[in-house]
Amino acid sequence: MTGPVRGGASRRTFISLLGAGAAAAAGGVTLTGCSDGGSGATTSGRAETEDKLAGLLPKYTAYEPVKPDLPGENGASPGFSHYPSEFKRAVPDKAVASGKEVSAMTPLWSPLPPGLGNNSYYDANNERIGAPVRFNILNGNDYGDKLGPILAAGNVPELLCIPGWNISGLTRFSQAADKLFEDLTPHLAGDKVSAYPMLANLPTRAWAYGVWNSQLKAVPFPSDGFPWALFYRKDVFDQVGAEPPKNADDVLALGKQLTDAKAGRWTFGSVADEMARMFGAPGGWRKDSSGKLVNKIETPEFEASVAFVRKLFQSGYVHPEVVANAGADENALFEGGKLVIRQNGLGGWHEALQRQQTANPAFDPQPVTPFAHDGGTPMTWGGDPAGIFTFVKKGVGEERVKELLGVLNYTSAPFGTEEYVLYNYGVEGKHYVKQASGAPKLTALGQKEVSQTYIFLGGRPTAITESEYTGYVQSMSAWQNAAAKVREKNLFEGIRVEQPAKMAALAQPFDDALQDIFRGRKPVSELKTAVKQWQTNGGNEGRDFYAKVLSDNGR
Amino acid sequence: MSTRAVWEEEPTVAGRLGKPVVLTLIALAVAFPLYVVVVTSLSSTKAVTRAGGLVVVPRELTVAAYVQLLSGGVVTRALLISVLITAIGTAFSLGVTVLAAYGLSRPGSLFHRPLLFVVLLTFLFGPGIIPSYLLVNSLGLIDHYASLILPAAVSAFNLIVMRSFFMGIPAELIDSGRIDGAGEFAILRRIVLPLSKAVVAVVGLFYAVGYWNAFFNALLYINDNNKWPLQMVLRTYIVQQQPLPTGAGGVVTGAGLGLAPAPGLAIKMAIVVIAIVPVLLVYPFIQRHFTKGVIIGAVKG
Repeated sequence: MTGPVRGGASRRTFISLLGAGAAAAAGGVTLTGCSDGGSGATTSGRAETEDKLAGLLPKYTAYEPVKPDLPGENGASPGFSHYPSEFKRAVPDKAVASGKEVSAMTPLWSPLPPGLGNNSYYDANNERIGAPVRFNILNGNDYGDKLGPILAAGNVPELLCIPGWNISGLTRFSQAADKLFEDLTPHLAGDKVSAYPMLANLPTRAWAYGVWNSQLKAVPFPSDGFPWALFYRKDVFDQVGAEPPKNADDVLALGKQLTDAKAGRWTFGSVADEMARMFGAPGGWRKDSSGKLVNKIETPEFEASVAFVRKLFQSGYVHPEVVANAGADENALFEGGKLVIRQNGLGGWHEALQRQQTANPAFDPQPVTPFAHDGGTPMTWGGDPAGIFTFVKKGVGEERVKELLGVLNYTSAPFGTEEYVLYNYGVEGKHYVKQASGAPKLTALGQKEVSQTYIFLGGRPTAITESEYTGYVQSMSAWQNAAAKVREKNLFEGIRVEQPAKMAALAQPFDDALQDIFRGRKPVSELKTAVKQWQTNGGNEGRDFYAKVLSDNGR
Repeated sequence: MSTRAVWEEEPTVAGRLGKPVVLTLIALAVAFPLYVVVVTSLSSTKAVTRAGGLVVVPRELTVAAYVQLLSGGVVTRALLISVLITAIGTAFSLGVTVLAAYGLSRPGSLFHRPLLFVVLLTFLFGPGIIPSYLLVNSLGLIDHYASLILPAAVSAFNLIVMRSFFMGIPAELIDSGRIDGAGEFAILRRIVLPLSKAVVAVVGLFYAVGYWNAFFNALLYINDNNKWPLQMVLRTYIVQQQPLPTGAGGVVTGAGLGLAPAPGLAIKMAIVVIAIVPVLLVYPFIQRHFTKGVIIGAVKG
């Protein structure tokens, strides 16, 4: 339940992105409103498996310009508790020898920067790349709307970024991929990737997600895969002497302790997914004792969590704006201290710190270490090893493909390299200056021109790097390691499953019913009806689809 | 007082007092949200944070949000594009609609029934996004400003409203013109249009607001960000504060990068203000025609 809004529906669509991303691997419905938006989509669902792909995938060769001082175990991201004083040059040569302009389309979640010709940050990067990259930027929320038409018309740029969550809304995507995008296998498989050391540095699990129709089709953008964390306002907790919860009773007690309607403070924002996890519901599917797949929403744990969340609402512990509108802007409420516990994506953490840095230096959000409802061993949900992909246009010629992969090699340079700083922040002294912590701070020119365009081409290994916020890297690293240790075993590990569109479309009506139950507009018993509807309208079909994916892979 | 009929009683004291109270409340219900929008757009981060969202009591006023929006040249450029698209588009749409409506309003003009049927059909069936895109693509209009005007140039609804209005003009007037030797164009220009100012104003407003608010055509057809109209650029500000999908892993939004010194909410509200001001400026001049034009269309439809 993140995000300010243009309108409930748009927020849902946006959140569905979260859902679809997490759900594709976990193979389940995310309950936060995973509607697919694409009503006309007829994707019947697809799957590609890592085990079968051995001959296709690039050989992994680590490239580590700086050593992380906080290692990530079990798939958690490594942490860098300070910025390196010097950056390594990772890509010595210009990628595009011909100097011919590169066209690219990427999503963007920030204001439109000045275009090519009026933007010295672009110029600095393009100088290193060897050719101007002409971005066709599109607001990330509208991105899927444009993908359908341009794929249908075959009117694609040389480099096309496609977020995974948009794919399930695209009709017959794998067919389009076949027709429109270059097979990268001959360029990258096995040792061939050594020509592109930054691409060789991407994890194999992420590469496996870049395979369509048994061809390596896309360069992946690796992801840590944690869908949610439960955040609390440590500064407020310290003031009133509260402790972060360790079980369900603690959660209820905090509701009572911290809610003070007269002072305009309530305990909770949206927490439903985190509560379902606390009760031990799976992130997607699990097998019951007979080997049958059971969806998260069909489990008794999920039912218990619904009753529990309803209790939080009924007791008046949830902020009234969230009660009135499931899509309320919880960022503002949380940062203003109007609510003190909420679930959010991990990325929201340092963004909130950034926003409040000067306005409220005491602001200290922290993630609650994962816990179980009974205080026992907790379980956390997993997600995809890669969520965003860059495709190369087909038919541009052998040499051009090499140049374009060179561009992706440049944009995939990891933390600690010159290139990383250049494509993230521009030129030192011009677009950014170094703070005492070593962290780059954008200048006025940087704020005007720098934008997150290059990073949507290719990808880089995940890392925790924002050491300018005291304690952030340490705390995030500790949380990720704790969460990764107890991550549930994913039945679909290593298989990229594209959720059938019909099943994806069921998430929204189910979530609507759920929100009504939480708010007391429907009794808890309605949950059974909603689940039944979900099953008959496509959930059971989805189950068969996922079961087949498993049996096809011998699991 | 003079409007009351002679047989009506004097209003009661409660009625006399109640009326202004009720009217004030209604006016407030309309004006208050606008007030909040303006105040929030002028508030600092601190004030927005303290209020936990929309600001009602102004504190720490600043124009930072407007400065951020209007500096840098991107928004101002888009503003100019939007104004031109709206002006040219409205003129073009009005021209085409007037001609078509006049033709279709004359019984006996060539193929007027089948043509009318085709127009009415578009009420029932839209073309769909992908076919529209394919058409515009094959016409070579991708990245062309014309793609913002041509696909939406004629609205069936506006055409029907205008046609109904034209049909209400007495045939005798037109016949007299014809006796004096006027051709169809002269009749349209000298007789029909001067009598139809109300409906032209209303339909023009509909078109203008449509062009002003439109973003979806630009989203589909304009690849070059330098050619975006205002609404598309403003939308990129709206999503700025939204967290990225989890699948995005380590990606940070503009906010995370330090791109947004002014508070997100203030920016959003400044966007609302910028987006509605032009419409608010034009509306009072057309308002007096508004009810008249619409009602005529409705009754005669």
